[in-house]
Amino acid sequence: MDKPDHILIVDDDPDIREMLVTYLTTQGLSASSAADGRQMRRLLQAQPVDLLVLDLMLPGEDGISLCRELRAPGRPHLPILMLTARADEADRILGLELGADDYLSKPFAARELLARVRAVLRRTRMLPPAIAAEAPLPQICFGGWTLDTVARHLVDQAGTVVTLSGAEYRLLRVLLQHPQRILSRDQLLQLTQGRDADAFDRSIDLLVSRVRQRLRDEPRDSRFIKTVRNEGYVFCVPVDSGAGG
Amino acid sequence: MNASASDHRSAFARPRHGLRWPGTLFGRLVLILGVSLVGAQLLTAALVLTERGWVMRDRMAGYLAADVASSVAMLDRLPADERADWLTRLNRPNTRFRIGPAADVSTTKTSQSPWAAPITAALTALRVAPIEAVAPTEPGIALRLQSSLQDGTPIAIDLIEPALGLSPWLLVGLSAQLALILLGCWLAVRQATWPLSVLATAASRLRPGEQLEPLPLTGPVEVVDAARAFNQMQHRIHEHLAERNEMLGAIAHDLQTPITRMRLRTDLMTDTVIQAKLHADLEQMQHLVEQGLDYARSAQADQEPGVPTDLRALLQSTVASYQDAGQPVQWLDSPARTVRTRPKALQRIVSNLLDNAIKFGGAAEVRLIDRDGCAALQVLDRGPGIAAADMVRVRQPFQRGDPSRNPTTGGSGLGLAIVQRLAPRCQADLHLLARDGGGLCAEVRFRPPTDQPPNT
Repeated sequence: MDKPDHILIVDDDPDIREMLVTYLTTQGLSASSAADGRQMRRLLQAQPVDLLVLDLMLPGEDGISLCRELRAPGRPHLPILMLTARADEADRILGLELGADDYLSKPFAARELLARVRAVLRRTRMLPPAIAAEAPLPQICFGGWTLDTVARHLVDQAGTVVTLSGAEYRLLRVLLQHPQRILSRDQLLQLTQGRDADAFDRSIDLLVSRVRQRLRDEPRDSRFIKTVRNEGYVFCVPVDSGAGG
Repeated sequence: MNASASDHRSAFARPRHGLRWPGTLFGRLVLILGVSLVGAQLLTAALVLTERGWVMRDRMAGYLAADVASSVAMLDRLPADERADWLTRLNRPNTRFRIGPAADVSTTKTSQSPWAAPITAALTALRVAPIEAVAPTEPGIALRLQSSLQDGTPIAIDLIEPALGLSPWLLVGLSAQLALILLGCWLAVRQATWPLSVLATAASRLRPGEQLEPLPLTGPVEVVDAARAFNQMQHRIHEHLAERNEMLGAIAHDLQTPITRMRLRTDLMTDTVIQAKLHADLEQMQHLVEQGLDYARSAQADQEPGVPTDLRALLQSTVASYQDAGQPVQWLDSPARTVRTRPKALQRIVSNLLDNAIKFGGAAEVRLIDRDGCAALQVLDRGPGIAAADMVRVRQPFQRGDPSRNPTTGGSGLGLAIVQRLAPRCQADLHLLARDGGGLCAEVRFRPPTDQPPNT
């Protein structure tokens, strides 16, 4: 029970591997590392791994193909944190749409990696497995709106693009993945920002009102996102999981 | 750039009093060729007409003299009282006979008419003598010949100068000729100058980072050669820029791994004072690397499709991202606007302008305004602003507002260059204005929607 979570780091740079292993170990986690896909597979077979830190740019098989392999149907869900060499949009989205649970662009602070690792682990354990493993759709439709999960923006009925900030997108995405279910502020904060809420944190309320504004809705009495007193928020419009717009 | 191109097209370069030398090559060539060819043509016509006049005068002088001689001989033989009756019959369209004392007009002034010499010569040869050519007293008469009959009766013959008539077809022909010359000049000069203006237009449209259609290789050999040379030059410029971009991108990209290593190494350090300083240095390096990559990739914005975009939502969400990161950015509420643009590229424009404003002004404000019926977004700060003389320079890569400024405060010098390159791809133009009350107002003005959509 008290066994520390085992993190496997896949990166081609030996110094980075070594430092990450050292750092994560000092932080009470168990960590090992692999330089490429072959080593990764061997280590995955040898011992149970709780989370994979996967670099996108690897010699030979790159992170994309490894991620795809690990997300093949029938395989158990292994949380993946992608490391991208560039904060470039395409890579980042690709990483997410391939089923990576989170991403971090290089260079990053060690503390930031630790926070993301912990957040992903907590998130995976918090959600029912069915939802956690749900394959992302390129488009999610609801009440005349379409959320484009590749471009990470909203499109209205007239085809006008409504841009979302990162936090706004994550909140809406989480709400759309759990329609008709009450999500507490704590859960929403965890799912959208990977951090714990303190008792007086109003940032989720602010974020919800911003998303309502993007949906051109009343900030107080929303058609889409209803406030449930003392409990949290619920997305109350049917979500069409099919493609189209 | 455009203004100077249209200057060349104005008809006259130097407005002065009186005649002006045309400012365009076209005008000058047409003037030189037209004036010389038309002049030469008119000179030829004048020479032909003069020559024809001489020949005709010589011929007609002979005929006239023979006619006059026979008339004089006839008058000599007629009885004096019958002569008056015959005079009207002897009159010709060009000659009029007067007889008797009344005809003796007292003038002795020698005639200056070109007809005088040939006619007197011809009459002398026919032995109608003595004869004298005098200046006429009446208008319309070229020459008066004075003589006397054998019985001493004075006789005067008024010669009406025969008109060397120009036939109407000659005038028509001459006008047609002149028109043909002018048309030919115009066509020839146009042939010569048209490719030049095509080249000038193409050269003025040449902008770094924008691929231009190559010039068509048609027309005369010289024009094809020039067009080919221009296309090659254009190609080389693009290659050079692409190479520079690639190099910048590669350097920036390759720096990221060592920066990551250094960042992790400093994270494992125990000396927190040095650690904080190194972190600040690394953050700055990382910012430079990101800007370099961003600049190198700005050409890739062409791949993003142009879509109708809710500008207010875009600005609000960008401002929200900055606020989430604890940055002092304020949204000044403005009415919603929708434009056709590339939203991701536009977000990068706004981010770069915000970064600049925060760096130099400490804080930024964003708003959406209407500029002559088109949408425009403004990023405002209360920083030192940019001197009017530097407004153009700062848009160039690696140029900072203050050249002496150390990069610690001046940034990478790529922010505005990135905006400058992305703006046209978003159907917009960057304008840097001095803000009322101090500071800078960076305005991104969207072009009217009728301009070509950024969809291609």
